[in-house]
Amino acid sequence: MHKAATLTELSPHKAAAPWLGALQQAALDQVKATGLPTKKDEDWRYSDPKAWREGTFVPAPSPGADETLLQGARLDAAGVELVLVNGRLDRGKSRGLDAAGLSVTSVAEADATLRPVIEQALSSSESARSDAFLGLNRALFDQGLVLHVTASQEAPVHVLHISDARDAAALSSPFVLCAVDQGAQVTLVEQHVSASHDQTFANAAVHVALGAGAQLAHHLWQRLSDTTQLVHTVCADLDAAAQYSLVALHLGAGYARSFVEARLGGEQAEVQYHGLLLGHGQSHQDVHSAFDHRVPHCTSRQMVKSILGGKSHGVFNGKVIFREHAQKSDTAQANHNLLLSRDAEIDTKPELEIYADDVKASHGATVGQLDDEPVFYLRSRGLDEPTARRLLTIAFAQDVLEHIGDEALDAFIHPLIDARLAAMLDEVTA
Amino acid sequence: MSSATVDEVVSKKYEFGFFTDIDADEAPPGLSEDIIRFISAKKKEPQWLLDYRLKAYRHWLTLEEPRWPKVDYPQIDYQDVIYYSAPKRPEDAPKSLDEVDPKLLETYEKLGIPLHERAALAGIAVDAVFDSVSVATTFKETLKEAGVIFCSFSEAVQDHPELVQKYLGSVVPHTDNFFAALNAAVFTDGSFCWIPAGVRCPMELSTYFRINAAKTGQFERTLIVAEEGAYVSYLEGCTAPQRDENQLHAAVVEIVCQKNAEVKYSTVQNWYPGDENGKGGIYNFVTKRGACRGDNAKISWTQVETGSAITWKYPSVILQGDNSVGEFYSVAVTSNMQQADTGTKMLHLGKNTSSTIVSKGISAMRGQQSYRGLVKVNKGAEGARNYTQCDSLLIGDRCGAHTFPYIEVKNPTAQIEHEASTSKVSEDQVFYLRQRGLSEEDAVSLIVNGFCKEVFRQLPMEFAVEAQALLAVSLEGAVG
Repeated sequence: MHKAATLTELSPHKAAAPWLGALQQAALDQVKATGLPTKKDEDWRYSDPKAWREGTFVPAPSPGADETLLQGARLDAAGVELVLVNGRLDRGKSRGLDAAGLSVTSVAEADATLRPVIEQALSSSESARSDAFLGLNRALFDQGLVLHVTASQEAPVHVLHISDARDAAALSSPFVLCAVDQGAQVTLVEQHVSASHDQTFANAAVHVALGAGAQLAHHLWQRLSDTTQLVHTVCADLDAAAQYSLVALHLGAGYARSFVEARLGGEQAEVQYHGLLLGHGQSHQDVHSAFDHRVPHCTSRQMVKSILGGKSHGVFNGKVIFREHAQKSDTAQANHNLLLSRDAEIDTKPELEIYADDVKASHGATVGQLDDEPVFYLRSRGLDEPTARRLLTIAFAQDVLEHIGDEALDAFIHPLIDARLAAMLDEVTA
Repeated sequence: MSSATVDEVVSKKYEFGFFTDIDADEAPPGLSEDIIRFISAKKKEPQWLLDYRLKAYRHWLTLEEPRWPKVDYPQIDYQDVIYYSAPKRPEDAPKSLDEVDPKLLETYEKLGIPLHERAALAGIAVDAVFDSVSVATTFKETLKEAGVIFCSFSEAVQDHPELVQKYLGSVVPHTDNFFAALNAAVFTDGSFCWIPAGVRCPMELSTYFRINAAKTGQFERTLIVAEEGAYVSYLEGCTAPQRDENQLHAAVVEIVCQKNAEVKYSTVQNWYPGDENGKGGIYNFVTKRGACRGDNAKISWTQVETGSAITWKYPSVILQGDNSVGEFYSVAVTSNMQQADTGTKMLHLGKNTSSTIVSKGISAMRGQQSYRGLVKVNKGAEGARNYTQCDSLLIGDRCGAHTFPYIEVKNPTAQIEHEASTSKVSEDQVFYLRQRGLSEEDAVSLIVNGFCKEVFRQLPMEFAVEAQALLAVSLEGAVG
């Protein structure tokens, strides 16, 4: 049994290769030097990671995949299904590992051509304290998962994360790198689940590297139980004309912070982020994003909607940066928030940082409750009030859900969202 | 857009740059309890005010200068600033214009605001602040008839200590922030305005701020109190002589607005912005805040910011009373090396409170501008309503425009809308106007004026004229 320790005292796993060990040690040293963020750090002012900073943890155990969770989360439509328990690949439960045009390895065993991408992911220089969780993930992940897409994949690739720690608060550090070669197209479904008694603090990171013209449709389904905590970071690098589309459904966890950073490094690159955040009970959900336009002619789109019930607290912070030479850049950002209950709270901050003049940028944010008029209209058509409200709430979420775009995926997740929304509305009226 | 005209504006000298050579009665540079005692004694202040200053100073010592605004400037040496300077002969303050130092009048002439003429023609009482001591006050009689008190802050301390003591620091406490604490410790003068219950102030009140003597930090303190059902429109405008020394300005404006009262506060700020290389210019760190204390109170801020090397300013409204209203209309221009981090805070506490924010930012040359705003709806603020619009116009590829709007909502009945856009002057629009026979410069000027129209419309007429003139000086060529 491991002794519980604070996050920065945890020791890294023995790396499978010396070069990897050195990078992980460097990342750990940096985190130790800067410490974890507090409420005083601008990026964390609404989401103090106090429990992370002050708690003690054991390294996440390595149990087998929980059958009940597994059955409820399997995606039949997926061509490749990779099951990770606390960040470690369970080969026995996974399938499609030998699919053509896709290689699945640990970080140490990854193809040598990917070495520069991996090294960049592991030694990113943006190392302010607000990025300490990313540094901690780099330092502490065990093996990691590298997906190298060399040819387009017809069926979705499903990465299923199961968080499972029953005895004591445990830290897991799932690390996934998804590299898509020039011109290839792939759909990646990343799903996070845990059981109702789970005590995991999951600090996950996903690195995306898209070659020229590559296309990645990334679906993030965060369905963790209320007892699980999650810090989730996505770092995406886009080469010329690459397209990265993220549909993120933040549905659970007691404390969850999601940060998506997209670096548009090649002309005509395009990033789209559609997010839905459902807060219930006491949950705390934080959605951060930063789109960094480094070259001309790139486009970014973002729409994040949140529906907050119970005593939940939602946070949105979207930042778009147009660097000095990023002329002809185009961005639009929208954040809409629906408060269902008296005790719910939302803090939103859509940011623009613009250093180029020939650009188009807009953002909008709204906070409110359902308008009385549409409710009245539906009631005048014979619907009772709860039904009318449920319909309108679902319609509010629909703007995000319609971007799922894949029938099989939609068929899987849509009923889950409807059920969750119904439960949230019941909670409000109860 | 032609670069020749851009160059023309870059090379345009600050039109209001001059310096009046008047011996100032100065304190030695530096800040200590002794200096504060010196200022207080000089102004013959009561003990409670000295205690207030010292309390603020001791608190200030525990604070760190804020570094979160998106502005860059060298570390300020607060021990190298002169905290008190008054025009000579403070003992026999002038009682009419005839007694005013002719050199001062000359200064006003150069500024284009002949005090008597302007006052007579426009019917405006001018409490002109030259450096830190008020030198001339007009129309006092008319105001007195209405029961309005409008005087320099020092006079108010002498004549109406009970009002000053009651309201000083009640909206911006001395613990509020670094610069507000500094101001509370060393403020030298400013304006005081009190409108009795039920009175509609018979004229628009105006103050011209001037910074003159070298190395003199200017620490204005303005306090406006509108009692129940009162109304006042207050105008503040400023220009400064051209100096190479960076000048520190940390003003505090407090507004108290009781039940059914309304205060309209308009500013045209045109301090020396520094030259094209960013040398010189005013550092403008201002704390402005109004409190709608009673039901149906209304505070409206309108600002046109074209000057200063650095602007750090967030006029705010605390909406305490039910149905109270807060407004913020702003046009800010940053050109050359100017930097501005400005916006507003609207704090909704009462029921059915509403706020409107319209911010128009224009960045040219190497100007950097940030809108930073907060809309906060507390739990008890049923039916709060906010509309925010912040637009930025970019002129030139080396400037920057940034937006940091914070929205914090704890009540589900709130309705909050925020929208922002950033773009350059549309080539289509310029083309259309040119095709109708306008020169490129006129076309762009027209577009920029149109961009700012929503804000200019809020200004009193005479200010609107000045604002457009200022915008023309700052930008007309740059965009042509």
